[in-house]
Amino acid sequence: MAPLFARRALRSTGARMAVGILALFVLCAVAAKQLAPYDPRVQPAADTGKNQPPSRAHPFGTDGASRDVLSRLIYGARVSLGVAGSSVLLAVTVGALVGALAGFAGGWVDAAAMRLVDAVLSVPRLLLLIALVASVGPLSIGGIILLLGLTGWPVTSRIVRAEVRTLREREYVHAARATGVPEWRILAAHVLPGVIPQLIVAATLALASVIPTEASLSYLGLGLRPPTPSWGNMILEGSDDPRTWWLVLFPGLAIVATVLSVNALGDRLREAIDARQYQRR
Amino acid sequence: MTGPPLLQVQDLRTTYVRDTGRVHAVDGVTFDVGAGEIVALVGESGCGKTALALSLMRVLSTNGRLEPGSRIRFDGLDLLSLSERAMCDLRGRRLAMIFQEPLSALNPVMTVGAQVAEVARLHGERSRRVAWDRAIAMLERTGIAAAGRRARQYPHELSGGMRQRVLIAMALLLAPSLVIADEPTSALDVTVQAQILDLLRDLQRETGMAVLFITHDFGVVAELCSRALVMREGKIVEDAPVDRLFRSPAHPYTAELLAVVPRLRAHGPRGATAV
Repeated sequence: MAPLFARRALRSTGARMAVGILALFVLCAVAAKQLAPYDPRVQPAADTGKNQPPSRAHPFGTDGASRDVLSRLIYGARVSLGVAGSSVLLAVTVGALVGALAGFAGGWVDAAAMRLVDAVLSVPRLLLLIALVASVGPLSIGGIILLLGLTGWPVTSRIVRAEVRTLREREYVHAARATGVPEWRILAAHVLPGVIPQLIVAATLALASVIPTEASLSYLGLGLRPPTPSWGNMILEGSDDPRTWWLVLFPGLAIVATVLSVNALGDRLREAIDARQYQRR
Repeated sequence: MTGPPLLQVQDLRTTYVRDTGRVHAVDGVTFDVGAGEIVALVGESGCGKTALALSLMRVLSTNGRLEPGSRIRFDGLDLLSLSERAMCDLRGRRLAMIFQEPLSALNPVMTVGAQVAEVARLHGERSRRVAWDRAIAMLERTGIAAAGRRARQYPHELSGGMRQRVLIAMALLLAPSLVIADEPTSALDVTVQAQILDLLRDLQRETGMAVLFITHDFGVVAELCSRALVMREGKIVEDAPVDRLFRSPAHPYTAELLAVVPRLRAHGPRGATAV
């Protein structure tokens, strides 16, 4: 069933393009060493100067330290997508657990969990992150992932909670209970599998929001520290001088393309799920 | 019959909390079902038949509640004082239920074989292999052709009649002593209804289980059951052997119900007799 709705989502050209773009970036992230023409941290050669506009040798130009922008962009994919992917995995896992328990248990457990969600959501995420980074100081990659993950779960938990609450009143759940299935197994084997399609959509939405969030943090100098190339801090480093437009344009385009692709894919997936629910009735 | 009946229900009250207030779905119901007996529970839609069934299984939805003072004795056990754990052990093994809508009562993302095998696994069968084989044997017994292949399919790939057979296989796998069948044929078309009723009767004769047969079809009552309970607005208004019920209904409501059955004869044909 899950592969079926995924296949239906991929029927549209837009979704296929989105998958193509994301696959390209993921390939960059995985095989950065093989794909990047230069080392992203050191000057490529003595003869190429700093802040060179795009040329045959450096298609995306060079930056203020004579480093190849294309190579930094490719390595930046590894950092930016790695951070985004890991933090979404963390956020979705926490969100699914909290949402499933709240929705299934109901009562005060539900009330407490949802008030916590309200509290976290009541502060704008970027503001919350800035405050947290300011109070704990500079962060490692692991620290950034943890921070983004722990501020990203509430939306997922709401989606999962709502879905669990409808699924737990389904007749097959009562029927399972009537054959002697204990409560924990009802949740694990009969309710949660039904949440997976919604969870995939929640994950794409979370991914689409975490990429610009991470970039914003890096741009503000609160995210990943400069020697590590991320798309966000590349924009920060290039934004001093309007004449060096290539330093900002290419990482900016990479962020825009990723977010648009993830969003397009998420929309198609959601439509596919809606169609499935419509047909079931 | 000697000894106490298999199931004794006394003053059972079930309420549902709605936005509009408290609804008394089951309102002080008292009746018995003897071992091996087939008892009909008839009444119009919304009179509390299903709420009664869910109460007996203790699987009410979260807004439903059994009121204090209700008593259910099953095979010497006081069901309402049992722990949830003990109740889980009982359900499916000694006390089973067949649901009304075969499609919505099956998990859409699990193969039907896995769902039947799960019942065996839950009640002590350690080996996956053995549980699966038992599931297939039971599916075969309920008349599913090519059960080995069908077991690997999902509910939406099966016909309505086959799905109902799967539910019956789940309920009867462990030979329970009481099965509550909640309108098991009303979602099916007439020819399939007849097949499912024949199947249930055969299985009942084989295992000697007691059946509480919820229906609003007097044709089914006449063919299958020895005694009938007539329910109205949460109360049982008549409890009588079936032949007497048809001959001389004691309660005006029963007479009314019988009167609206089109062209009913005492042992008339099944079908087209829904209230």
